[in-house]
This record gives sequence, C-alpha cells and structure tokens, in this order.
Amino acid sequence: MKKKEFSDISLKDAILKAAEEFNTDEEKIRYEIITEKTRYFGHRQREIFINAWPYDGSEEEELKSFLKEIIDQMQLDLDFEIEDKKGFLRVNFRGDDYKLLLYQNGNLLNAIQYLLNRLFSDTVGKKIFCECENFRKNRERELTNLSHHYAKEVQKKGKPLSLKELNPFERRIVHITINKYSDLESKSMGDSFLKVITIKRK
Amino acid sequence: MKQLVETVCKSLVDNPDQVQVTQIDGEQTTILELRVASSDLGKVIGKQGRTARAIRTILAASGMKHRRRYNLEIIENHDQ
Repeated sequence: MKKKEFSDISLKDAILKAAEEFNTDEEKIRYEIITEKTRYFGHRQREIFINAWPYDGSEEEELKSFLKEIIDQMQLDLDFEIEDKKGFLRVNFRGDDYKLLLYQNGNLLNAIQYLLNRLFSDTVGKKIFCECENFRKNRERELTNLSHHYAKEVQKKGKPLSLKELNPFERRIVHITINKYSDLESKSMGDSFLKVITIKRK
Repeated sequence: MKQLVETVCKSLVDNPDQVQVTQIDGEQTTILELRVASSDLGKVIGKQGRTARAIRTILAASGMKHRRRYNLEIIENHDQ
C-alpha cells in the first residue's frame, strides 16, 4: 500500500490532486486527514494535509481469502458474506456452527472481528464489523432491558448494584441507558479490558 | 491447527519467515509452541495480550468442535 501526502486549500482539491497522481477516479481514493490549519500570511488561507492512497477492492478480496483460509483450517461449517456499507464493512456469518461464534457472549465473533480489524482496517480504510444471526442487535436490546431493570431496582431499594463483566461496546450501551435516569449514575470499575459497571444513586 | 496458528501469525508479523510452530500432541490436549522473531513478539501478543487472547479463543472454539484442548505457548528466545 502506497500512501502519499497531499495538501491543498480544500479537501476536495487535495483528493483531486491525489487522483491525478495515482491515475484513478476521485471515488477510488481513500484518505485520512493529517492536519488542517489556517495560515495568516497577509490574507486568511486554509490548508489541509491528507494521506491518500488508491483503493480498488483488492484489499477486500484479500480479507475474503484470509477469512476463508482460517475458517477452513478451523474446520468449521461457516459461510460469510461481505457488505460494503458507508463507513464500515460488515461481515455476516452464517452456517451450522454459528453457535460456536456466539458462545460466551460472542467471544469468537469478537476475536475474529478484532483480528480482522488489526490486519485489514488500515488497508481497507474502514472499520470491520462482524455480525451473525442479529447477535449484536439482540445483545443491545438485552442489555438495555437489563439495565432498565437494574435501574428500577436501585431506585426502589437504594442499594448500588453491579452488572457482570462487560466489554467496552457493551458498557457503552449500559451507560447510555443509565444516563436517561436523572437520579442514577453508572461507573465502570477495574482496569482490564472487561470491567464491571456499578449503578447507584447520585 | 498448526497451520491455523501459522497463517494468523504470519499475517500479523513483519518477518513471516521466522514464524515457527511446533505441535506436541498429548492424550487430550495439544500444545502449540509459537516462536517468532523477538522484534515481532509484541505483535503476536498485542495490547494487554489481546491478540494472543484472540488466537487462543479461535483455537478453543475449534477445539470445542473436535473435543480437544489446544494450548498456545508463546516462547521467548533469551539467547538473542
């Protein structure tokens, strides 16, 4: 992957410059913004710096073949398809062994998602989300219900309550739900990847 | 399984040719010893061992299907 730095007065101009350099259309340019600054030399002028590289979908193929290879070597009955969404790539798994993916709160699903992001999110230029049998949506609903239930319990009894260990994504859902209650607050305890959330009265 | 660890680790590290996996089969468990270049050690372990944990999770999952325990040992080379 060849990344190159470009700068111009606006983002669009910078992308155009990059497209010219790599000989492709501007839609095929992926970029990240390094800095944006305003200069004051006599008159106000903005300048933007970006890192740009051409993208032609070959990275997605790489991801596909890598995933296929590890699923093969794990000897699981799994199939997947990749959807290109705005802002992220969604990998949707299906197959007979989906239960293994979701075992222990989606442990394997999260592990695969983490590995894919480490390996490919830079080159693809997008985050990768793994999904299986609507697991993430269901989990979100389950956690919102659970935290509503806990919140009511705390309001009634006044004693603080703790939830199980949760990962950052799940904790975020709980914090958002608890924030809706004006008399309650939620705190994460611990310093590892998984933390325990305690809900208590303010 | 040995291949699985090899493919994953080779894609993670900077020096793929120095990735070495040895498999030791026991009665119920299989121990996989992973050796990488010392500069790549951090890459296979990851922040707070996240990458290593992800690899172990993947091993455990396929072990569950085949009723076998897999143990991943990452071996440091002290002589370098």
